[in-house]
Amino acid sequence: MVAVDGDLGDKSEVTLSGGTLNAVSMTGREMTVEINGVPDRSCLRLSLAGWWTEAGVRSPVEASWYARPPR
Amino acid sequence: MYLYYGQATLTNCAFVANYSTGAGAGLVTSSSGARRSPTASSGSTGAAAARIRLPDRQLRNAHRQLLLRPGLDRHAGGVGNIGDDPLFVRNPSDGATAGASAGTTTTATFIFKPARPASTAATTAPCLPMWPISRQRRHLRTPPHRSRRQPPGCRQRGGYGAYESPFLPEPRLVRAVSRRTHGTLGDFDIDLPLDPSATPVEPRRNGPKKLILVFSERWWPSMAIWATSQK
Repeated sequence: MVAVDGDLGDKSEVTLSGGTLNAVSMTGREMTVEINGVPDRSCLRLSLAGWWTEAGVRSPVEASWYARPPR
Repeated sequence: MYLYYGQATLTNCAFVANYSTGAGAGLVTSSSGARRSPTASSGSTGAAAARIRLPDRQLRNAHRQLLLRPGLDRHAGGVGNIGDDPLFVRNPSDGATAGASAGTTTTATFIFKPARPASTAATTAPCLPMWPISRQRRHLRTPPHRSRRQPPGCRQRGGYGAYESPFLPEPRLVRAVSRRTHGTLGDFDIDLPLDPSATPVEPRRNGPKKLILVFSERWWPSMAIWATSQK
């Protein structure tokens, strides 16, 4: 997996639905996404785009998690 | 890729993300008049050619297994051919000008342009005058459909070129955790569900601070070695 623009530091490969994206880094198979300001009782959606692999450009990857369960 | 007693000219070729279990990955010449002009290597590990991913197989211990017949520059044409410009360019964010002089090695960051021929997975072009010849032939796996009369490594459809291997796995997100560092007690991870329908799992105040995403495929930094040595 390689950032299309060749730079992970610009954080353009990661998009958050809430909060602030502070830093993105990757070592081996692990990507570390540092964030803050995600409101409690909210659903955080994280999208990855703008990368490719040896096998070609892939569709964006999305995942979402709740920050504290809604009551 | 190992050039042995060849006179091939490799022009604008990119060797990307090859794996080495022994002497390395990339381009090596021996007793060869091969020229590289310019040829780049990105994400390859190791010091010399030992293993290279090819379209229809993975060669293990490829040291001395690849022989390029003289005149590789006489490529067969077609999309994705090794003779095409790989559109492998120096990252403009480097802030420096590419162009190492002959006989020197420069380390720089390179990226592929979106229209790179390496994005083409297949071609109907005839086989190139290139096939693996091994002194350790036992390491080569010949697909059962291939005739013994065919040059080993020559596919029935398509030829060698700047292809991306179809054998590489799709990148998958295999695990995600929300990590908090609790003072001297260290890190506490909470697994995050990958199933969107799963129940929420980050109960700590102020939400997630650090997400660790683990993929099925390792990350290849876009750092490249551009070797313009002319032989």
